[in-house]
Amino acid sequence: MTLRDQISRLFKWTKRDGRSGSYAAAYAVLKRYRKPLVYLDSTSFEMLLDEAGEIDVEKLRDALRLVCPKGNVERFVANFQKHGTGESDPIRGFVGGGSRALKLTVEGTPPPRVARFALLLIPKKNREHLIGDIEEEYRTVVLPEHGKACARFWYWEQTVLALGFSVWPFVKRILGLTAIWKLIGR
Amino acid sequence: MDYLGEFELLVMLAVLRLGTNAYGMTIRREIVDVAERSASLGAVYTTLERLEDKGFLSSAIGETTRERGGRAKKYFKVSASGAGAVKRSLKSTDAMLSGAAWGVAR
Repeated sequence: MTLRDQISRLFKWTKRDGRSGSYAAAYAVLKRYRKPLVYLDSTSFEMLLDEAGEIDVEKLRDALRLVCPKGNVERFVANFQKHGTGESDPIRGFVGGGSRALKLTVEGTPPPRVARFALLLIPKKNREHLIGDIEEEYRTVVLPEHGKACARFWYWEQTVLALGFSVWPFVKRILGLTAIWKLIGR
Repeated sequence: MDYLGEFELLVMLAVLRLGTNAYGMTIRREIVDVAERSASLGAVYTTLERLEDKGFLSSAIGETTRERGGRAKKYFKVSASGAGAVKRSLKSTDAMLSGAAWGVAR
């Protein structure tokens, strides 16, 4: 089973679970099969809570079974129960890899540099949040699910569209289209 | 009285579905996954901004995370007038739907 298949299965599981009501918030990345790195962010953590807001170990185990060899699942769960805090800080549980593996996964494939600079052209009002959202989806959804090449393409696509949408009102104003649109009742 | 466009309605419904977890990325994912419609983050933000200007949404700055490069999230919430606008839009759609003939002209 490829890495993409494994992640896809985990995404399906989180969707079936339905706690978020929508998108797959949990994800797992196997850098190598023998050195799994399972990284849970604050949103995915929420998916693993039971009705009382406690960590549901069975849910955690189920999710991990899809992506880890059995021995590693148990080691992760033990590690998680020992060190997991439930706060919004990332919780790391892994066999091998450690912070280096986390760094490789989260920071090892940065978004295209030129696109990142281009995003600075977006008006200041929502710039920070928009760039943050693009980066979050790039790192947590697109990159693990589709790979580096697709993720970079996706990042560029989002950049161009974001720039287009933010520039369009100014272009419209310059061309005087706003007045015309008002005249025709738009 | 302001009415909602089709994409505006989708965004409002996504915010309502997401509850306290409604921010740019989750709203986009909700539209893509549930409505099965493509939407860029740029389009989503433009619409969110417009809805906020109309008073249908309110926003609050949230926490930062590492995956976001330390940038803060912006959470959105539907206001009372926003909820009213959604209801009006759905009502008018329902009214138009009843009695619509689905036959295709040949």
